[in-house]
Amino acid sequence: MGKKEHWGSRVGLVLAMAGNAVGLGNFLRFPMQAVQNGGGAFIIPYLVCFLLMGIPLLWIEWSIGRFGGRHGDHSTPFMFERIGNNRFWKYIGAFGIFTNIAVASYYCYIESWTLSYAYHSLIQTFSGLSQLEVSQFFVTYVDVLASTTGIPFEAIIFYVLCLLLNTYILSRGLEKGIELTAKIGMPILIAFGIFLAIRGWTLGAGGATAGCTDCDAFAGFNFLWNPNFTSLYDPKVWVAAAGQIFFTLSIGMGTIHCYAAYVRSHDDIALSAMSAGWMNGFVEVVLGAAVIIPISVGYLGLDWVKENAGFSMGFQTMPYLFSQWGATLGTIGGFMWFGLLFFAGITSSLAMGSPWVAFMKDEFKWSQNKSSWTFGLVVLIMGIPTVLFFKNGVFDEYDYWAGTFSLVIFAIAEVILFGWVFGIEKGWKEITDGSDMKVPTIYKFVIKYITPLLLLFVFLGNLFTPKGNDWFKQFGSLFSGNGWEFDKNAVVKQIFHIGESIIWFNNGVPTPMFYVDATRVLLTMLFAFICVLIYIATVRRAKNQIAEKG
Amino acid sequence: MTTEAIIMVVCVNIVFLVVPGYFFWKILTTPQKPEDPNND
Repeated sequence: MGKKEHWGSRVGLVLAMAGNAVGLGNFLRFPMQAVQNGGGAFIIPYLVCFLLMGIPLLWIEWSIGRFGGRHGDHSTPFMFERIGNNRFWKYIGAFGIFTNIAVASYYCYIESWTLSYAYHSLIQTFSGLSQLEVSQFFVTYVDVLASTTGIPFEAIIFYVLCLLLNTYILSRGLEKGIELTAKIGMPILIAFGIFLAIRGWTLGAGGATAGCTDCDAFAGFNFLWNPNFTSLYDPKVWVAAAGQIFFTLSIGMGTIHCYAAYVRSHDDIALSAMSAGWMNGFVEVVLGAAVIIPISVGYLGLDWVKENAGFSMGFQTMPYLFSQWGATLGTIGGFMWFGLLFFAGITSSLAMGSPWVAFMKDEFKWSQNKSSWTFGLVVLIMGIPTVLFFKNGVFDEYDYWAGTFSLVIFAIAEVILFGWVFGIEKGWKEITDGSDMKVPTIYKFVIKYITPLLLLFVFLGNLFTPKGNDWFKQFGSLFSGNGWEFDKNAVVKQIFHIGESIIWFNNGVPTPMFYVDATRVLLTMLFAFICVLIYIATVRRAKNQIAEKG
Repeated sequence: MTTEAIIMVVCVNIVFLVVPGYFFWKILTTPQKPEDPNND
């Protein structure tokens, strides 16, 4: 039997894990969540959820991963089966491969935007463009048939390029591929982030144009950090904080399990998990919060940002702001911003490729190369619809089901598996085995009772989201006998198309509902495909066992 | 910026600089355990 594959160094492992967690959401999602949910006060539920849900789940996932790796399992299906001691669990573990392929399919598309925008920043495409023209550039870019600067099918070209890069790095293996990329990418990301954050803190009213009375970066910081403590009584704020913690740490995906499976059998996981988790927090809270909102307010004013705050600001606004810094500094600033987003993206998408690669290597004895390139192929097949039909809502559908809902389901399953099926005593032994820090014993109780309850809270919050996210109003309506009105994002409303007529074609032309339902069928087929692979792997394992005994 | 916003941003930034810094420093300064030939 060959020597087991392991991380080259502990710093490499922590940087790769932090890189897995640090993503585009740290810079684009967190600031928006904060301004929409109580400003500075948002950090209170954010910290509470980090301590009671984030950290326990990190420890659970690292423990399951190292436990699996010790027994030769590097992806969640057979880790779950082993830890749950029941065949049924491996099909829950299928989520740990499914989610990654589905998320990588659309995530690589966003990643390719950052690559393309970094290129356009370097060749100064945005120089001299108005805010409206920069915004229009994005609209043209995502229209695959249109061209921004003469490159035909630019969105597809950059998507394929990005996927090829991911696949190539994966094919180089754990130490020479993923670990090396994290060791290079994370310091660059942090350096770029510090540069932009310093610019945010020192901009002040220096970017104000004539006539703009509220163009002041400090007004942006004030907008972001001024605490509205009454917001803490609103359940919406707590659901948002729990959701942010969930997605920012990349928990519920299966990537942490996979990376942790390559930790040596009795090496520390408790301290490494804490280090990676808090490093993600540093990038999000210290760097992420100091860039997009303050700089945007500094140039465009508080009123403009209040009206336009959203994920797209990163692409539709920032290039214009950098162009205001002058030719040289603007080029550097733009390249650093999109370079930073690119490194944040690629260190996450590489993690998404690892579970498939590990599964194919473990179960089908495929080589690193073959496993990596087939991952690229499956992602390409699944991802092309998100590129071609971006405007038809395919992208959003992937994000909703794979990037949001599946994570919560998977996390609920694993917390029950770890705390109740495997047993908290055995689980605790796993967490503390080889630990280089004293793990507070209170977490035994938290893992068994508090974390599952919090997850249930997030799950129900997603399942029954009230109209306009107004929980007080809908509870009032429910108790006065007027029923519960769902938000358009509520899972029950999404699944059953509540309040909508099911029409797939209109005069022979597919309707938006057709694209939505077709995407769901595609995602279901992907999940079924992975379950079939797991079944085949089970049969192969059984045959191998018989052969070994014989 | 309001006083409350300044207090908030200073405290939060200190927490998210000091705690990650402490854990990363511990990672850098804690020697790695030798390989276990039976399991690794």
